[in-house]
Amino acid sequence: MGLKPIIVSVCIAAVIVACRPDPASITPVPEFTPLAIEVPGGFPPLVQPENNIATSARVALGKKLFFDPRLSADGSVSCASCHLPDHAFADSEPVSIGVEGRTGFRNSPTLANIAWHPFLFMDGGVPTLELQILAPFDEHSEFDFPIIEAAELLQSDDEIVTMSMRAYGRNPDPFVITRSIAAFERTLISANSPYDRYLAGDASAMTSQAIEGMNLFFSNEIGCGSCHHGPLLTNFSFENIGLYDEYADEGRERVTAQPNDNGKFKVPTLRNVAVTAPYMHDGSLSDLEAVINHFDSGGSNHPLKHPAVRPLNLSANQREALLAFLHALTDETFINNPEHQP
Amino acid sequence: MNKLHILGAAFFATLLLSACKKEKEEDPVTEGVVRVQMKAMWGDQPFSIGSTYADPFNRDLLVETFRAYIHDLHLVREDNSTVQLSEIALVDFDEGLTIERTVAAGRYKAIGFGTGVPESLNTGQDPAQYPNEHPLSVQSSAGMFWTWNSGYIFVKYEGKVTLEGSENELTDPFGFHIGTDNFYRSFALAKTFDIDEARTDLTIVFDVQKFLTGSDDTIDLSQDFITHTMSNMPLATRFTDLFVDAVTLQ
Repeated sequence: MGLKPIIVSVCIAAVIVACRPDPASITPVPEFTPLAIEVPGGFPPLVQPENNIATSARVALGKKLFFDPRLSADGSVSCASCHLPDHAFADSEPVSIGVEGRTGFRNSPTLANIAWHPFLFMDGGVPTLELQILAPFDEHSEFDFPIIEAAELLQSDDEIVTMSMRAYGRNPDPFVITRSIAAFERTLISANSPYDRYLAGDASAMTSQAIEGMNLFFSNEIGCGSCHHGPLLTNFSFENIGLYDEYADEGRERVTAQPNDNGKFKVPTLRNVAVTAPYMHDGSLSDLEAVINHFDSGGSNHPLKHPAVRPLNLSANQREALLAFLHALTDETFINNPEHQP
Repeated sequence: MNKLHILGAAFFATLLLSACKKEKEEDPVTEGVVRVQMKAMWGDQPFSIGSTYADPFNRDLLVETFRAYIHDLHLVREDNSTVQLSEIALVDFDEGLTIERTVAAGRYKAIGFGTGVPESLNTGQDPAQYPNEHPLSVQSSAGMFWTWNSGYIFVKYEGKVTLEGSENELTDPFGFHIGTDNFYRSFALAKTFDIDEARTDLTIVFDVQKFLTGSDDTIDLSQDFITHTMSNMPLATRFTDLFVDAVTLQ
């Protein structure tokens, strides 16, 4: 008799517990409100794919995956392994290092302002960020992990599943992985260097030496600005700068099969260049002094060398001024942005 | 009920039955079934992945992969209108491809298709946009998509060969990875046939033996053994020319 109320209470409690939804089974409502991305003054409009307009949910998921080493075969390498925030999302290795210490064949580029790149990779073989993100999965010397398997792995992570549902209304899959990381990368905007502030009217933002270097840089006398100009400090052309007489890496010829593209690589942005050493497609120049030396020497006699690359006979003062200008391209707020940390 | 009524009724009934019978006799066949098979052969021999054959220089040759995208498989009617049987398929020639469709009856004069992925589905397109079961999806196109130079590999033929002086047998690799828009090839294989109530069977044969040798060219795998198309465009062109000549309709 005395047990009856207890049994009834237990049964009621069991029913209540059973009726409570499993937290993991709740389907989050997708959040498709576009994220307002502030485009710096003077920059071209930011163009996003119709099926991947940035939202807070997408960027948050992309950032999480960007730093997630589970995307690689042995769980040791993430996007951030070769694109470190404090190196303006480049790294300090001559060429990228992937799973099991395998070395790639090109230097890791900065991702600053990558949203404005009309094509990806130094040879321009890939037209969109979303497509580019497939590549490290496929590369033996990067993730070397089928993206399908990475997606399956993520599907067992409740937090990622919830974020994925919020961001795209679907479970993690290749579409979600490529879209979300691309959405995050489009928010990596750098436009607050001393050079930017100087151009915006702050005469004290750059030293007189850096100003001298800037004037020299953009002068016809040495011609750097013929390729490195505009708000992104690149014209996105493919150029051979006479690094070698014969290139082991054929550059753009790799994707076009055109002999006239031999040794040509995408002109890199120079924003934050002081924190992205070493330099060149193969990381063969260890510091900015070596880069200046290369251009001062006029480079090799490669028949496809850009005509602006010729002996300059720079004075010591001019070298120092150029160096000061290149350092004035560092955006401290970008490389120290806490929003860019994992 | 008089005799006249009975006779009249009988007459109309006979007329009705006769009319129905005539209509049934004249009911035309409006559609029929066509079964198209695509398969690989090695000359007159059956072909299978993992088998060893003799290359044009009588070296042992092991085929490890022969896959190709087949686009817009269609029949051509007498009036040149076309009936599509399949938009895009990725064919592993270890198994081949069999497609059976019901199509309009009548006289046809050819079967056509393209090898590769058309420009509209290839250049700058993203495999991640397709569901897994789609032939162009990330999952289906694994090994058939260049992630470093966005585009599908149209035809992949690879394996190993025993070259002169090799210490071990069947260890020297060869690979022909053919892609990019310029290497899409269209085929129109002529044959007059009627689609009617009986199933029509058509067999398209890819003679793998001819991939390395033809009337005008022979590829010597000791010299020319690898192309990713852009890495060796002349060899990609030679292979594709031989490949085109190796396709017949039986």
